[in-house]
Amino acid sequence: MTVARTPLLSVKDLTKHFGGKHSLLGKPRPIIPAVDAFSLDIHAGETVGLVGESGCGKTTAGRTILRLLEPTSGSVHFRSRTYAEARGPERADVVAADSNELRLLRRDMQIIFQDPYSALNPRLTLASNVGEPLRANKMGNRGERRERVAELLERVGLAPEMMDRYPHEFSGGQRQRAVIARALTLDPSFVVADEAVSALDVSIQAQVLNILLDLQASRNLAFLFIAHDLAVVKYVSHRVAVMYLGRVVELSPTDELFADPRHPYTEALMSAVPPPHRRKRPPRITLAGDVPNPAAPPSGCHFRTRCRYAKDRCVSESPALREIRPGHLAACHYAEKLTLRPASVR
Amino acid sequence: MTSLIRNLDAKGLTGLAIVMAVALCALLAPWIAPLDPNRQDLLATVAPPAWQEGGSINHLLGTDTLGRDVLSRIIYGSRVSLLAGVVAASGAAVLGAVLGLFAGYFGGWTGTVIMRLVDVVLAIPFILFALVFMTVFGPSLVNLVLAFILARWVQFTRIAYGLVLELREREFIQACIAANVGHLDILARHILPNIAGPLLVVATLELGYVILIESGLSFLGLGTPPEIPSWGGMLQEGRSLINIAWWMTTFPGVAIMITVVGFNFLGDWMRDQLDPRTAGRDAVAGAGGGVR
Repeated sequence: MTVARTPLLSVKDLTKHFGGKHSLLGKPRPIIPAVDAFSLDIHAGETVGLVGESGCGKTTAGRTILRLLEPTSGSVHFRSRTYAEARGPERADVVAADSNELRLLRRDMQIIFQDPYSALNPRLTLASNVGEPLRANKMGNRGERRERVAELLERVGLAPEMMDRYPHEFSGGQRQRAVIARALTLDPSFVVADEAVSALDVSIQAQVLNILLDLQASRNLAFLFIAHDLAVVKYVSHRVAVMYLGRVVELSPTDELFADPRHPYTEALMSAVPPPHRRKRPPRITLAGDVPNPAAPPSGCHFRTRCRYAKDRCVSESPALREIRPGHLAACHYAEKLTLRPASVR
Repeated sequence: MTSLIRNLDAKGLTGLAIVMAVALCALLAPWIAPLDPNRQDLLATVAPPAWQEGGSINHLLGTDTLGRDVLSRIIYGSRVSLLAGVVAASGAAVLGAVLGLFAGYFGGWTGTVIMRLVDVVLAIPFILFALVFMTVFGPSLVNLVLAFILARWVQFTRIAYGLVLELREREFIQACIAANVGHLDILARHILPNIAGPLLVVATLELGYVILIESGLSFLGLGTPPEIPSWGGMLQEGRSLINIAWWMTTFPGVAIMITVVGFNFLGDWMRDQLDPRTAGRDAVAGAGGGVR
């Protein structure tokens, strides 16, 4: 997609370290760079998929962008209507914002969580759960809020008559739709969908994905779609970023990434997905060993310890994320030269 | 409120009835009690209950060593037990829960200081602490309640702290932060209701403990003054005669037991009512009906 305007969201060198500080009367904990110099632009109405294995920093990246986790360094410039109305400038840095500015910015950015069972307060009715962002931002009176909640529930396919029931009376799929409705109450322009459908049955997954796509079309929503299921990511994303050990190793338009991966890790990740048809399946690329200890990552390229193409240069020199083709970035010294196998996902 | 009463089950009803009865005894003691609890009948000391040989209709549950009427003293004693129990247990609950909420939610230095303080208080044997406290400030009901609050809040703090630590990481709390819900609002509206059940159960247990502690301190001469009848005090007075005058210890003991059981039932029922999952609504009829 070609968008002339400045991106809705520009993440630049976002870094999040865990640990390091002394706990009271305790030993210093090792520094773990969960997210290391993460950079990404997201345009209005665009979905960027973020994939990688467990523990690679996907979720941390998503939460750090919203400042649910305090970033160690970097910037997140975000275009927010509420902020522009109140303060003037079109874009503001989420990382540098003080608490008042953050309140304004957060009105336009929301998050959908993975686990529908822990994402709703069990002591509040569905209406209170979904309407909580409105209440917190002092928008509308009780009646108006209920009206808005009813409208949103309808939008995600839940009967508004059920709004006075409690979360335990709903199924996982119903709850997840309520979680989506809550994320939309403030009418945000950017939503982090953190494994939004991973906990659901496959049939419900498709339903929820289609709701997300509908909402995106009607509201020009941008998504950062964090997932480990490549088929799902391929279905919803315009572009996909692949993360390994806290770093983005490849970023490309979706079709191109699946047809012509340019990073050995992407190749290996994709070979793990079973092909849709029972044709002769190419042998899986099995990565040797475990993910290295994130507190002491390997020198040079983080992936070199498990990469079957690794050479001496990969030990000494850390590859930069660079543009290989227009819009296709990869962090591998040999990105142009390697012959990598495309994905079998349709 | 009407729905609460409608949801009263057998357990809740029993608990409520017992607690109401004890409360009525305490409130209306001068009118209910057949005799002045401190009037000594020296012609009828250690008299057995009315239905036993040698008992008299004047003293239904017998008399103690000074000829004071056991029934009247139990009725008056409910005042001390109820007041001390309810005030001390709820005082400790409020103090402890608030500190536990803050320690668990904000963590950091605040949390560390509060939880280290909890460790310190836990390390001091309560009876020793109460003894010192009552010796320094003088034995009185107020001081007993104060001592209890100062020593027992830690029970609530520890439990609240652990529950909050777990809740804080739950996604609905993260969603609140992302939606600009204020910290105090999160604590009061999203965290407290989710930990109220376990705290309530601890409170009912602590309530029974206060009543027993009061008896222990009376034994050491540091409880409530002897002219104020209390169940704990009666237990101690009758202890040495338990072989020949069982009624002096049995009846106050039964009163303590019934009261504690009553509060436990009531607490259990309230906990269930606080939780929508067990609040006796038509949960089954509603589930799954919303998919279109």
